[in-house]
Amino acid sequence: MDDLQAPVRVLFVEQKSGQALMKKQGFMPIDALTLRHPTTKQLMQGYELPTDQLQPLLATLDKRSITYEQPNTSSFSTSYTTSLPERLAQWHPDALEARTIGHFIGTFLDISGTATARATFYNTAEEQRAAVEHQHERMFSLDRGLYCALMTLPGTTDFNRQLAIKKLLHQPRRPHHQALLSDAEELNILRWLVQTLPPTRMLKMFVMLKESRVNNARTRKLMLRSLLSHPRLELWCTRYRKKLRIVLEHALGQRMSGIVRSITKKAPSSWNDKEQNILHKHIGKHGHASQQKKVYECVSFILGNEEHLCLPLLKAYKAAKHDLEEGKRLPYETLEGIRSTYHKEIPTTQVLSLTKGQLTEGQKIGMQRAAEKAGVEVTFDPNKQSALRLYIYSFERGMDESIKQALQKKATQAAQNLPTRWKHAGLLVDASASMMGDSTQALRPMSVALATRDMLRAASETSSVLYCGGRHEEETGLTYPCGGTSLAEGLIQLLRDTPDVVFILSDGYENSPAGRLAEVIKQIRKLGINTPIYQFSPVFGAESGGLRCLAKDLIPALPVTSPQDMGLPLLKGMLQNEPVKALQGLLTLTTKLLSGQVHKQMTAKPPHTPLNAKVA
Amino acid sequence: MLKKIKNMFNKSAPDDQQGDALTIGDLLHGTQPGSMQSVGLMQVIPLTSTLEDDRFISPMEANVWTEGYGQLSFENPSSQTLLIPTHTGFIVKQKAQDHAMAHAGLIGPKKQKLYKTAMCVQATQGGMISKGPHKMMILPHSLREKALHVRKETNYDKLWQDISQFNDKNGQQEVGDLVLFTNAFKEQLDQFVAEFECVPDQVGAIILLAGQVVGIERAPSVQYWRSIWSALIRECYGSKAIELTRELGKDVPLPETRVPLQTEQVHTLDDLAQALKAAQRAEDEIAKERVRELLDIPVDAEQEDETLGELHVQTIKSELFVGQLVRDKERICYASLINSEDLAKRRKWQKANAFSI
Repeated sequence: MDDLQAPVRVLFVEQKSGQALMKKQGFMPIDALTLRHPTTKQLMQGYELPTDQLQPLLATLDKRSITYEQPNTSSFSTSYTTSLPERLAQWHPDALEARTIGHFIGTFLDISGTATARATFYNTAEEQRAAVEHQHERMFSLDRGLYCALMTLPGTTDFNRQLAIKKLLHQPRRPHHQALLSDAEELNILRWLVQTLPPTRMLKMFVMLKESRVNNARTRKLMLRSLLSHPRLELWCTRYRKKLRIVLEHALGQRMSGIVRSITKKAPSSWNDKEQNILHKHIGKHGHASQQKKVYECVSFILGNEEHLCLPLLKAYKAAKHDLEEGKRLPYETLEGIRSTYHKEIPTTQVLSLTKGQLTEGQKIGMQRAAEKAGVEVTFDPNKQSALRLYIYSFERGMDESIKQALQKKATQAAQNLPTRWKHAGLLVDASASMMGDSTQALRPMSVALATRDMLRAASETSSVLYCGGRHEEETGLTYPCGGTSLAEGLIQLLRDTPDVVFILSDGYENSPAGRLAEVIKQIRKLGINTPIYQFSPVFGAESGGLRCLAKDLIPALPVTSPQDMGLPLLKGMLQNEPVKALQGLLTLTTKLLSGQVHKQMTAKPPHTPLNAKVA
Repeated sequence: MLKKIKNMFNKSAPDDQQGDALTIGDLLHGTQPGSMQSVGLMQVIPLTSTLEDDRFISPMEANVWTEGYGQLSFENPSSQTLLIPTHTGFIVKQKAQDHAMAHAGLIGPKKQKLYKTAMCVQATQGGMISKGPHKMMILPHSLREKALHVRKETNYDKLWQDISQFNDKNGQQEVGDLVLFTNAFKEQLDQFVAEFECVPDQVGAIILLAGQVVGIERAPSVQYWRSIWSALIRECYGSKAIELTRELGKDVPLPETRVPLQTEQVHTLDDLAQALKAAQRAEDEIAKERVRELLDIPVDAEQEDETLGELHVQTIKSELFVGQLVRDKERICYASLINSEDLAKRRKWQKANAFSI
């Protein structure tokens, strides 16, 4: 951890002698960190405490002669002479380290799979962001390589990836820094992460980097390569021209941007050798050699020039300013922007009519209301939408047979990705008012719950589903959240069918009364009924620093944002007991990426360092 | 029992004569009690109604600003009446002095109004709140009775001393700055919003703490209720729960309205289901008994200057509660009552046994 200041430290204290003192000092025990010490056989209790409080506490413990131990959490970040799988295979942490790392990863996965930048029913976007950033800081200070690798996990939200990329670029590695991944490995994963972001989020993140004044060489290179080598650069130029200009000017610097703008304003045939060298050095080398001419024209356009255009979309953009119909090849929002500036007399419906062939699948479903109002028929293919999006759409616009069939198909596909199947699953769906979500993401938690319900049903031969609160429509399969949360009765009813597993799909807020479900589960266990019970939570509660568990210590609470990514939360359960095995499983994708498959997924241009290189 | 209570809630409407003696049952006329929600020390009995009075909007839809210290202005941009709940306040992120109202208010459609009886709740900060929509809060329960006493005064600092004492009691610096409290207990206050959910047709609630009724709230419509509920549960009643938890110490006992499962005779799932139902029934009975005790309590209504057409603000006092209501002739549009600590102490004294040897 060197010069990085970890926000929290973990300390194990002998339970019998230290519990009262720790309680008096205001530290709460963490259940996941309770273990019997492998050598002393004492029962040790783990605590998380702010770093600045560690030293005074240790002094107090010494004074009272209370046994304690600080886990070493850096045993896997020592050498890069072998490949990542080999390094992980050789990693043999002691029990305290394994448990601590398992705890850190487990807490981090709670947010990496669910947190978005949106407000929730309970938290503003700022609160949500602050809570997420705190978790990132914790993981980063544990090991930046592990932190980076965890970002490759399927199901990690774009918001978390944006934060991680920013953090990794913002804090350059010192030469003496040890981490799970080497510098080159980290850079390769960073490139992959950037490429996996949708363009709007990628650009937003680059703008965030500019605002944070991050302009080290690694960042500039990453920006230029990600943009200039992208096959859709021409389309992006018309769609995100302003943002691209901000990013390009930041990456090139104001002075060089000015020089490039002046050179590219002239016809390419008039560029002299010196000018060509400048363009190649600062622009051309970041794109593909075969596409150099195209890249120069795009850069010229981004920087504000509209002369000597040859590329069809850029020509259409210029021509549409005089004649809107000339812009029918452009994306909807681009042409709408031109209309609202240069052709205010033309109604917006005409833009929709002209560009309906250019709409993306996402736009097609998102613009149904506008299209209907404009009298333009825009059809979308439900099979190309996610189950979550289809539910959100159905809540707003109604369910039809084609959507139902697509949802069924998606549920079956998602079920195939699960690590296991069940004979008879019981599903308890919390449809209380809080599942409504915030107004900025209305019905998102409920939509996640319903899509998860479908997938779990598809993963079981038979199933029973009960709804707690809400108004359920059997015909459409939609459940409208309302009312309070009383889950205990539903659980008992489900268990009467003797299922082999019960899933509770709930945000974790119970009020009829709070704690009743835990009381009932305790009693169920006393009756000898050991049916596994899982809570899947579709929202991330920033106020509780992670997921809100309905019955702490009795059932695991696992995060879910979309049903196809549920395999990951299921694996999370392993982290407490078998952290090494779980970590190896979790980092499968990272291993695949580093062993060469990353080329196909990110960019056609190979990076400078071979991805499968063993770096000393 | 439930039927009996429902009947009491629905007995004939209060008289048309304003200023006449009312009962708490009258204030709840037309509403029904729903299933109790219970988390920790706090319980909420939702009040539902199908009598929608959609003439009103809340300050959540208005523009608010300060024109001077102790002077709070509202602009109603809608075509409905702006009903400002009693003790509405605004804690803003701007560098401006946070303010609160000392009473309820009524502002007609497309009108604006300046209240010079407002008060500062942030002694350590200067500056004016700029005009715009601001998130509302309702003063903490413990300050509301005091605020009601000084509702007609025009001193901007009239609540500072009470806020200082309130902060001190809650382990904060002894200054008249409410933000110290709301910042210190932000996480706990947020929890209350999360825990207590609005049910369909809800227009009000009876709030209990540790089994005792501490507040009765009624709004004109479902939409209005939803817009003010988080301010009520967060700052007003949430703060009271925090105070009480601090008073009781770390080992807070469950309130008597929270009945634990009786599991001695549970041997099967059916037994467990029965035990669960029995606990739920027992909790409902206790809560409703608490409410039933209140229904016949008479309240005195004092007419305030704040009127708008047929709408009048009245300040009410009873044996146990103080607060305000807005009524349109016999119709109770809005009511907000909190239990009065002063009156409760006096009642305890009056009810004590007479001296005898």
